[in-house]
Amino acid sequence: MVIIEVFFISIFLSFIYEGIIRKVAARMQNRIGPPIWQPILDFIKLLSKERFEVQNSNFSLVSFLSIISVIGLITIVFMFPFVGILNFNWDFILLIYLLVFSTACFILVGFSFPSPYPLIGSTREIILLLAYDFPLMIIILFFGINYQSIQFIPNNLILSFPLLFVSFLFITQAKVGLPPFNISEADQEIAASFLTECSGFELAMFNLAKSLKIFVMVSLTTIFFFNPPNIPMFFLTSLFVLFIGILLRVILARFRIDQGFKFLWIFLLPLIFIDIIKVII
Amino acid sequence: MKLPKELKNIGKFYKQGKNEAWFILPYENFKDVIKNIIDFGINRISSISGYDNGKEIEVIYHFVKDNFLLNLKVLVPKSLNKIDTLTDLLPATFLLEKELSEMLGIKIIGHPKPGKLFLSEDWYGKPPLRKG
Amino acid sequence: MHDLMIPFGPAHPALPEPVYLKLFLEGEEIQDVDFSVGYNHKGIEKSLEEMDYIKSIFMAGRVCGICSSAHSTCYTQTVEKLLNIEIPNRARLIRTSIFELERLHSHLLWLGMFGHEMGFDTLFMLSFREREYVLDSLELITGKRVVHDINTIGGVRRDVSQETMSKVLKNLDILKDKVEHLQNLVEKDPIIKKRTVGIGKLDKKDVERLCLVGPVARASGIPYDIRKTDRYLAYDDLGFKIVVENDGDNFARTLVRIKEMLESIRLVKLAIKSIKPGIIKNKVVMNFPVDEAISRVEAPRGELIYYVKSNGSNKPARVKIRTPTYANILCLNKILVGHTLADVPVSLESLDPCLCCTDRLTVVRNGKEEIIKLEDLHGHH
Repeated sequence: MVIIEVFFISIFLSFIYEGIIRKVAARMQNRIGPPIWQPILDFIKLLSKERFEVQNSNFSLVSFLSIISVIGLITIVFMFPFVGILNFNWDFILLIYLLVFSTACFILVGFSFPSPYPLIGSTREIILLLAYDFPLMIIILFFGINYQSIQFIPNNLILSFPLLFVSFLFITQAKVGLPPFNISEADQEIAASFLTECSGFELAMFNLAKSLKIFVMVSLTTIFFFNPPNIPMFFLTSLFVLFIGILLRVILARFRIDQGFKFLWIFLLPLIFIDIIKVII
Repeated sequence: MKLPKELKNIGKFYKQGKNEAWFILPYENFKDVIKNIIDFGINRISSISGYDNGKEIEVIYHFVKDNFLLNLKVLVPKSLNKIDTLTDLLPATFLLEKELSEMLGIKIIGHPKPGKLFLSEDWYGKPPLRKG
Repeated sequence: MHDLMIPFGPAHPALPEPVYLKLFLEGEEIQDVDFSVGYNHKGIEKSLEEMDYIKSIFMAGRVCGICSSAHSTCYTQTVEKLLNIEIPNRARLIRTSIFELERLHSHLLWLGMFGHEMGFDTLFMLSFREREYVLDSLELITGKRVVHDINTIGGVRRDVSQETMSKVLKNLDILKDKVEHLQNLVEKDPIIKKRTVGIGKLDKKDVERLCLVGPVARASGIPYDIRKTDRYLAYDDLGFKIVVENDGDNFARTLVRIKEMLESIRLVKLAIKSIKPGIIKNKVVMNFPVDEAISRVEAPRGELIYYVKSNGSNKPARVKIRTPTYANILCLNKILVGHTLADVPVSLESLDPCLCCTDRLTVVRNGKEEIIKLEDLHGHH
């Protein structure tokens, strides 16, 4: 597939995934909810709004980061098996780097403003990154050692590693910022964390980056643990994984940062090690 | 609950209700009288009301014990315009005295943090609840 | 020593009403709190001095949108004490039903806000959905959903028909199951417990020293409830049971309010069933003596006190209102210091602050006094 097609299709799909989350969560809460294409409308409207350059902020850096965070995430899409543009041995290492890269862009944005809310949002995101990245790296490296490249992952790994699947689900919630781990975006405590001072074009791009993260993480879960043979099956399984994420979002409240950290290390790491040791023995 | 004997002489008794009693305390040493009441066990204050009746400012301290209301009125002469604080005896009077002071223009002697509460910091009109 | 000062408010997504909290942080732990109120200052006490007694009842009901009937009932009770009159039995029971229905809607609104502060949006949506049953019942009886204006001197203004009473009883039966379901949810959810147990602790000594009122005091083991002590309205006849918890943390305050909801449902059902035929308003001769009176009720947030002084005319000379949040706001320092920033909205909301009640004092009319220029309204130059 051509690069431009992948670019536009992944942006479109990430908006649709976010719209599905909002619609299904609303239905679960006995509301009607916005239409599924609402994020697209939001994006278009934000592009037409004024950009406020906040005094004493590193605004050119923020604009630059908004664009490259989107590009970094779309590069991950190039590594999917049936897209196949960017596959080589040990591409798992590039995957780890790109996943951290997008979060690092967000963190840098928080430090570019002279306001306390983005500052606290970024410090929380750093702590949360430390919390979920350690289990994430272990899982990805485990796959890397066994299968060398993403295109060689066999089908239906969930049957062999069910505990890794459960851990990966929680790590996805933490990475994407859905409850119970929406700690760094807690709008009741710190306004809009690192997005508080952004407006117009930058805000639209960062929202797109957040939606892309959801698309990428859900697709990665599908690829690692199911790897279905054709594209319609791929979307069906992605929707199933997305549905589990929405269920967790609706029925759980938010952790505090120290509670979230403890959960991710003390609860998930043993689950991961049980499944890994099965193979070694 | 009836008023106990010890408290019958704390001041000038002027009104009785079903579960309430109203006294006028002398201005000079009302704080000692209140200290006695608190030591006696009536240590919950509900409200402090102020009223400008033209000649002086009436300040009423409303104390509560279970279902009995003990209302103690102190008359502050307008020439002096100040009253002792009760925050060292009862921390709960902190906000009530600030409101009294800004609305009726009385200075509270010894309040730990004097200043405006509801009015804005640079309010320069006369205290709002003063008459005339 | 603190290294960061976070301004919490006056405009903040977590706050339904404006209050300015200065939080002094070190890392994520709070070292000190400084608060500033007065952003909702409306000038009610002075305005009440310029209206006659009947009109001022309507004004008193608009001090707060959530506890409107509590203010209106307390003010009417004080004025009736000044005139030394009693109200008929039917009016007493109608007033009690409206009062308790309002407590129900206020606590359900609080439960929704509490879930929202914790990031638990589903609890918010569920509570507001159940609250519709209460608002429908209130609309059937009084014609309005929030500010009811049902009181007048000597009784109530509207009568309630047999058909309305049966509809309200049916609504309450459905509501009882829903509230029990919500109680089950809150008591058993592990994340709610993790975020509320042990946080914002107030022990008995703090309550007595700071003279706290309402569910905040009852959650720390002190059985202080005006419905029990003063036995006003019809609580004596209906047999009121007080709800007390002992732990004093955020979770205990939640449990107190949920159990009070169930008690309110029982009281309203009993009150409506005991209404007997009769008049709803006694004839009143509005001859006010030169006197003063004080009366208290248990508003949803705690003890509400009204002091009315009359000088013989048909307008009150002075009305002083002391609302429950005004008393409870002093404990902010105790419940916030030592915990993290993430606990601030949860602890603040567990006090159930109603700041428009707190700020209701005076402003001078521009016609008589100095005209304040626009640039003078900007605080610090």
